[in-house]
Amino acid sequence: MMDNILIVAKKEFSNLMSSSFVVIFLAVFTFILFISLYHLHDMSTDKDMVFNYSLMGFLSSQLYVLAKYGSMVGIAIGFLVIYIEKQKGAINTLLVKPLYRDDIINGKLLGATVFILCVLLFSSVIYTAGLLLLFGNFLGPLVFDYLIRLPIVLFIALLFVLIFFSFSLLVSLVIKNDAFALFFTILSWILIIYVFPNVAFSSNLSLVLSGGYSISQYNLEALIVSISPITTIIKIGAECPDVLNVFSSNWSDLVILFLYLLITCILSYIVFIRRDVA
Amino acid sequence: MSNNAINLIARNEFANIIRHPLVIITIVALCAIIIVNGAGSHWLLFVLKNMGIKEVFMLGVSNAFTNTSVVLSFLALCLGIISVAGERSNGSLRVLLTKPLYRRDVIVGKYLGINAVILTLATFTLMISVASIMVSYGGPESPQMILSMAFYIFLLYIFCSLMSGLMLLVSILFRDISMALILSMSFLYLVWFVDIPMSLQNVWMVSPVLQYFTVANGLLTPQSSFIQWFENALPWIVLMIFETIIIFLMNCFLFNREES
Repeated sequence: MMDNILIVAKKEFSNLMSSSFVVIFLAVFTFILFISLYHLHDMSTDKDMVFNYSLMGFLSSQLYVLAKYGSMVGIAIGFLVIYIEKQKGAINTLLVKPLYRDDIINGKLLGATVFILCVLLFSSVIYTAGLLLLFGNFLGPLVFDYLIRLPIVLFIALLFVLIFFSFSLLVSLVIKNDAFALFFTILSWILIIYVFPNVAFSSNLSLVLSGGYSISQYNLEALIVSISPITTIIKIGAECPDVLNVFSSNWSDLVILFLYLLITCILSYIVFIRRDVA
Repeated sequence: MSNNAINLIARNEFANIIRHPLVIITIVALCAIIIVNGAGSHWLLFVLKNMGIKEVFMLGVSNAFTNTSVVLSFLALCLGIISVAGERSNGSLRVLLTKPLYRRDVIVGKYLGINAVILTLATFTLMISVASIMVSYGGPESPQMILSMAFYIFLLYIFCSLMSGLMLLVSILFRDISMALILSMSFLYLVWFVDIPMSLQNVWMVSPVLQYFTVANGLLTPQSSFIQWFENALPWIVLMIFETIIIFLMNCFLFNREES
């Protein structure tokens, strides 16, 4: 059974790797990373801004960039995993083989997860190289401390990206029209990442729900903002004194991310097992 | 070029798009954002008024401005893709092209249909926004605001029209719908969600979003008179219209060339 999962995972990984979309993702990701590095450089040279040179500052900005654009890549991969299969008709062939449906979905999840990890790893290498070029004087002596914290940043970013990957997979399985499925997922992404944490929206919604300004309105506003997983990422970046301690100091935030992932994964799993994809 | 054929295609495009499930879902999302903003204004605007801030009505409208702009521009991107790449992938574009029609009539008709939907939605969005604030707070403080809002609808329309035109171009250049979809995602992210360094602001003015924000921000949060705003905004408005026309002509040219 494990062999079957690994075979499906390998096929999924090679499908994604050979796709021309990978070049677009990586090109755009690299461009965004350069813009982000330039932004950091701008802030460090601007006399009016207080730029905080700290290891955690660099790591949290990396986490934010990887998670934010990575989630868009996750959505695209979730869509492509089903789209490529539908286009090639491969899923029909796969389903008539002596394979459990569980093996197919597990293999697909595993293959896509490894692929997303590779994309994040590639982006992280570029970002680190850029940081060393721009802030080498500061970062040089701390490079060992930086490198031992990097896997934790990658783990949190991966957790975040997988939430959107599995959500996209779920929507692509439920909605038959491919383009509509992708547009619906992106619209949801905009609402979750952009509209919910927006002060104008969250404060107005909390005012309406609590019936005016009060202590409960402020609590409600904080609750509405915290619904978005990007708030959790920002919170970890801002509150965690050292990313090495994230499992003890911000464990509840990680549990929230993990729960989002678990729910979307379980739903995708159930839908795939119960529905005829083709 | 036959006006009758263009008119027919535009009307058909309008009817197809306006019933599309994505448009319906987006309208629901827009209404939710606007109504929450309108209802919240019942408390927020009175507090701002008591603080001595003038023209709080416009502040109420501008509170939902970023959120509605991002959702509407996203919809405009989708319409550009659905209209050509979507129809090409489900085969309906091929059926249309077998009819006794010029290709330029097809693309002009489609473009006009999409633009009619965008104009309808931009007007609808602002009408709902104004109506909800009028119910919860009261009417605008000065008649000049009505002129500002009419200009805002025009700006939103030009901006969304430019976005849909760009995606129409992507759909014509890349025949594969998945490629058009992935490119549109990347474009949406780059123009809306990347934090631009201050020193790159001038270079980044090529982005339609930044051009739109430069013009619309001054309109909705009035620091100066309408005439002053108009004088400052006019070069940007002309540039946006010029870009829209260029993109439209490129679409016509490239779609025509596909035939040969």
